[in-house]
Amino acid sequence: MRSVAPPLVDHAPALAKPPARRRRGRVPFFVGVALTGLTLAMAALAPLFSPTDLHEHDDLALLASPSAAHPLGTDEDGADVLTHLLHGARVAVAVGLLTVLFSLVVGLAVGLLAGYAGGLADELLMRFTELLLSFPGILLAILIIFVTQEPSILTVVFALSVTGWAGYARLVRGQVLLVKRQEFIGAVRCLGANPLRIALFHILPNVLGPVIVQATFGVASAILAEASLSFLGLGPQGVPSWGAMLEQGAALFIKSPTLALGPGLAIVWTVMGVNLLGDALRDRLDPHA
Amino acid sequence: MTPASSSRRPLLLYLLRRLLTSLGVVLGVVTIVFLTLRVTPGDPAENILGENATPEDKAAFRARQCLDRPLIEQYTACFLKNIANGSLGYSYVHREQPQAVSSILITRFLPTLELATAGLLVALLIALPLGLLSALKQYTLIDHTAMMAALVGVAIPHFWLGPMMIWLFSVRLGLLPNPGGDLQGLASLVLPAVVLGSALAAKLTRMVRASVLEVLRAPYVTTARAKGIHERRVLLHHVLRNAMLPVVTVMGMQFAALLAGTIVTEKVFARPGLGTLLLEAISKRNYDLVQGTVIAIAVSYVLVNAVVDAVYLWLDPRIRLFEERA
Repeated sequence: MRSVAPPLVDHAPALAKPPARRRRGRVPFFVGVALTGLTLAMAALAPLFSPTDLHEHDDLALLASPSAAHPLGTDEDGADVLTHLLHGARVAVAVGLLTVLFSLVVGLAVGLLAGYAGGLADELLMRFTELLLSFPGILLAILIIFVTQEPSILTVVFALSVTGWAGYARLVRGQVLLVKRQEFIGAVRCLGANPLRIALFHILPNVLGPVIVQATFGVASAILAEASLSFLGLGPQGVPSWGAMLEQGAALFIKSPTLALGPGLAIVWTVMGVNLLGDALRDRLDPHA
Repeated sequence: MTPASSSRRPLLLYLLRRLLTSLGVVLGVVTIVFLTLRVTPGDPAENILGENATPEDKAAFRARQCLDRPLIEQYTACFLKNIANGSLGYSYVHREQPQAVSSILITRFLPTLELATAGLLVALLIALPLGLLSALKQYTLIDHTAMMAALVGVAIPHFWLGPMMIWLFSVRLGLLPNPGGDLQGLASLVLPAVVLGSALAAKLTRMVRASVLEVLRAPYVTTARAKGIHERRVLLHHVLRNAMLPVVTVMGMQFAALLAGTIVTEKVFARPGLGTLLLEAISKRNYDLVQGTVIAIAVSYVLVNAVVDAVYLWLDPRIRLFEERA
């Protein structure tokens, strides 16, 4: 019988059981997943778990305390708070994801073009990008919504994306400048690949790490920005929003402090969860940051 | 020419160049405001005045805002002209007595600046000791608690923290005045400043911690300790001073952002300022006043950033030398 020689260095315990610090480091990631998952589940299952119809108002139960029929009570119009809270998650998730998606597409295109083409295109695109970055985003969003009569979810997404893409463009351009100097890009060029192919299939995959990290934080910022706009009365109309619920809750805070509790906590755990995910992703994808 | 004056010349040239760049950015920012208002789809006259406005009212509005003229003419003959003559347009709350937007802005600018400055001070008072302590006690309970607080601080919206603090400190404990009442005095500024500064305090705490940790590992800190310098002096003179450089940059940018953040805080605490003025103007559909307020906030944002740049230059001799050589 042939005997198996023992390994020179025993790696098995290290692989089977990560060191305590590494395990502790994963805790924020799992908390982030849990908190974000809760919001996503609320958004996905809102119709299933809503105690009442979204547009139903109980005129006999205005500002009612929590009960079996209304687990989180009702607002001053007699609407069920839990129903609005669950449907508010849909608006928050939609605005957060769509804003980042739109901003990302434009930012990637502009950043790739500026970084790869260089020269005048780079100069012009980056000057414009810097100009947008020197403008407080929420202010331009307020202005766009002001000139729109009935802002919808898409109006808010558009208003936030108008300045939102600029940060991604600057980041992508910087990364492209780093990647395009590397040898493998020169090799692909020597093989006769056209610039579009090089940009899309060779540069883009190599710049995505930091971009994904920033996009994750971008979701949290967009959710906060939407809530702020709704609080100011400039959010999407006709749909429940956590910011708008907080606006009503803030006015009635002394009379009914619980009214603002649900939407306030929902914003905090969602933003915190997404930020924790962003931190964990940064450690994984962008360790130099 | 004395050596001192000759060494100062490139610095002055740099500041002059920075000022000119800022003016270019200001022009760009006001152009963005102009284009946003004009290019957004829909008829501004109908959107601003509502569907029930008479055709005469709409025509008068278009004539007043130059909307019946070509875009270039709207920009030069009306928009830029109003900026150049310092009026920033006219508010027609009382139709017979139009008031220059700039005269309204002046009265509302100071309370906003006061709030933003107080918010910054609160943020610094929290972030500096907490960030330093967190870095010195890395991976201890203090560090974890501070980082957790920072994480929550970034996520709590001002418009939720504000009412909670009013409820606790003004209503339940009666320690601070109720908002909306007499707004004179420092006591009325405490809660709004804490609320406005909370998110910035959270961001800066993380920043100070990271920056101090990096400096603590620098060879000159080891040298200072090896020379037997007292630990307190090492921390205050060698560590904190150098760790502050990146913090100052972020702080400057964030101070500009605080100006925009006052919109929500002023609404929560019913404080007069540019933020509440903007919201009043929006609810009254006062086109020129909205445009003027946005320009005022945006331009302050650009100028604060420029001033911070200059301060940073003065703080960090390495940049000064680099600029002089360039």
